[in-house]
Amino acid sequence: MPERRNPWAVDKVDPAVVERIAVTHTPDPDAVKMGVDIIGDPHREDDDGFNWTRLRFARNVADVAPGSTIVMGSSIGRYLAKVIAWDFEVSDEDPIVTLELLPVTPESVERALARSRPPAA
Amino acid sequence: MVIRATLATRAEAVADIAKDARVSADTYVVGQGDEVELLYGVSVFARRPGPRDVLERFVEAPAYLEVTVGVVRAAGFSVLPTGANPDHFDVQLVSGRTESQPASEQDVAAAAARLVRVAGDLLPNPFYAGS
Repeated sequence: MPERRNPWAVDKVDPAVVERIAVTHTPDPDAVKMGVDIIGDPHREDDDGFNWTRLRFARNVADVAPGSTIVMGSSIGRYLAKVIAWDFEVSDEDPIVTLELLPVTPESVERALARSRPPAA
Repeated sequence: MVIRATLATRAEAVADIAKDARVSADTYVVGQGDEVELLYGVSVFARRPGPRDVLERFVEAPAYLEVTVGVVRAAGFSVLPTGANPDHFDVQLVSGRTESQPASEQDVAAAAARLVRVAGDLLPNPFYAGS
């Protein structure tokens, strides 16, 4: 069995590349409608055990750059995820977006963050 | 048994499966040399007995499909182990298609409908947290 890649290790992408792709990107209509950063299938796993989708399904390219924490939308719910890498092997304009799906719901994180704020003075 | 979480109706399940298979085929191929073909992959998870249920991660999915690998293969679909997770598989929805001869949207939709038919009834997801 292949060794699983460390999800803390992120393959950063040159900001100039992000900007180049963003210029021609059209926001994915389903992502816009759902109010999420990108659309994907939570069942998918690549050879490293990561989830994946394609950049063309993003709402805003810069929001899903490697290292970002995002909300992935799907037909069966929303998932928090960390963007691990963009893989340009199949396309220079529409790379594979590699994601680590986090085993928590967006709502539970919202509640935890609300609790973590210091009390008002 | 393998499972795939779905929306509440068979039509929605078919549409979702067909869409995901097309994205897969736009991204990956399987095979080697002259045997390379587009991967119209439909991701599924093995569901094994034990304290952890793979359905736990699909709390917003009202339903799921569950079927044995044998039944899927008997219907003519290949089931391919995929990657690091021994419990993750891709069902090859349309076989033998290449970049120069991809499947039509109708072919993919028909295969998705057949896979859902083979899988049987939609089952209620016990971890569904919706209303």
